[in-house]
Amino acid sequence: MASWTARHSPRLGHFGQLVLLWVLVELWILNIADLLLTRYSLWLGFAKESNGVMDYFFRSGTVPAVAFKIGIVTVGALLLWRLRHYRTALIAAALLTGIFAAVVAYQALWVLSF
Amino acid sequence: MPEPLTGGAASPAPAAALTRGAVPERLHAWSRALLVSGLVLLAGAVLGAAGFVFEQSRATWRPQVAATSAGWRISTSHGLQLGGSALGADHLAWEAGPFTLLTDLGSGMSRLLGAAATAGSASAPSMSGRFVVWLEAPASGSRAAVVWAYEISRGRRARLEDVQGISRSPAVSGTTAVWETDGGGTGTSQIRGVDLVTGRRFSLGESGGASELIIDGTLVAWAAARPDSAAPLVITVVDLADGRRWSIAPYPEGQKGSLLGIALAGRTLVWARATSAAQADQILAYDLDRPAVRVIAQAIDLVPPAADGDLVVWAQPSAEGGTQVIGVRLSGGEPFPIASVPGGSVRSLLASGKTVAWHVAGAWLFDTYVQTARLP
Repeated sequence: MASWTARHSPRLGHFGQLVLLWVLVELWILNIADLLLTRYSLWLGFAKESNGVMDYFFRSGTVPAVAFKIGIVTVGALLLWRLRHYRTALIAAALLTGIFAAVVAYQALWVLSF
Repeated sequence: MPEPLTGGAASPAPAAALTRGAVPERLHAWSRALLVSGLVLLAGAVLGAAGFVFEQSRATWRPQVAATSAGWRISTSHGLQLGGSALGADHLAWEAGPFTLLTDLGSGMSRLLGAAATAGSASAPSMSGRFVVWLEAPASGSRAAVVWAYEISRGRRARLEDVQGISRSPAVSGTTAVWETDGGGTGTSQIRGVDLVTGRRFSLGESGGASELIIDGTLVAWAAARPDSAAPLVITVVDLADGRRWSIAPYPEGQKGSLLGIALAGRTLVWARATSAAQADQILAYDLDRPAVRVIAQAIDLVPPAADGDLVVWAQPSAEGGTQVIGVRLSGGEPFPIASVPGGSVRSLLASGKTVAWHVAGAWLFDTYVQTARLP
């Protein structure tokens, strides 16, 4: 993946790398927020986990679900940070963070409306 | 050769100046990067909020709630038909198609408690001051359904049981919920219950296929047909406190009649009946502690009663052509008028504390509403 990115993606400057770092930190925090809101919605009984993989882990228990969700996003964030010299990494991280922010905002408003 | 002026001791000075300037610049870069990343976050959050607002604006469950001089008038929109409802403390729970809703009678605000699948249906809810219970079926006419309970103060919904067979609306009083289920696939209907706080479950035995199931305090009552179809229905009352049972025939054997509805007012069973012997429908009250029956109302086209505490309310056609909502205290006193409904027909009544509600069906299929009033 690194070699493909090296061939096709423009290089990212120092400032871009700083933005990437902050975006990845936000992504990680949003992931925790998503986890907490999902767990709370499931506890309320109003929501159903539509992601089959997460549904499996939630059925297995809270600890496996927390471990999987935090683990997979941490690994993903570290991979993107390894690719920090390429603009593609920043675009991917920004897209992911934007989508996560949209999901978390929707969930938070939904929970507040009940 | 003399050393150049730029070398030696003079050279560190510019370097030191550069170091002092780099720290704020670096901080500035970090802040700008944080700002840019914050914009990404904000864009996503705005998108999510817009999606939520759009979804809410398209929601078909949101009712039309209008304040009246004595309470609220609640009607549905988007072609949803208002179904059964229940009163408890300061809230009204009601069902419209697949939706179960709760309206705060203080503020008039409504919230969605449950939504069955698009093709599904919800039963009429029952509520106490603390809980709402109802039945949700995934498809209309489905033989599998789920009994749900919602705790008002905590805003928490809990799945009580998956039931099979044609089940009646569950009922709740205080913290005790009861419902009918098919008894583990045996084909015989049973009444089961649970204490919603302790989780203690219990069974009241076979119900015989209850047509109505109610609970008030420790008393549970249901009406069911007897094996001999010619015999009148029987109302069974069970006291959860001591297990005592009463079997009451709502009208005499040998008479053609029908049971219009049952209610519990404290320890008094109240029912409305229509019999071939009487010219008018009757509402009777039976005190379980002092076994004695008395007729408390008699009129043509009576709307089945609702009760709470010692208050019994019912509706009957008025001389002016509309419908009169009337109440009486079982502890004594004359019947008193509560409201006059000029158009449409009153389908059912509710009573809880000092609040009374009536469900009116207008001339059109979806022209239905619930109106509440607070007694002085």
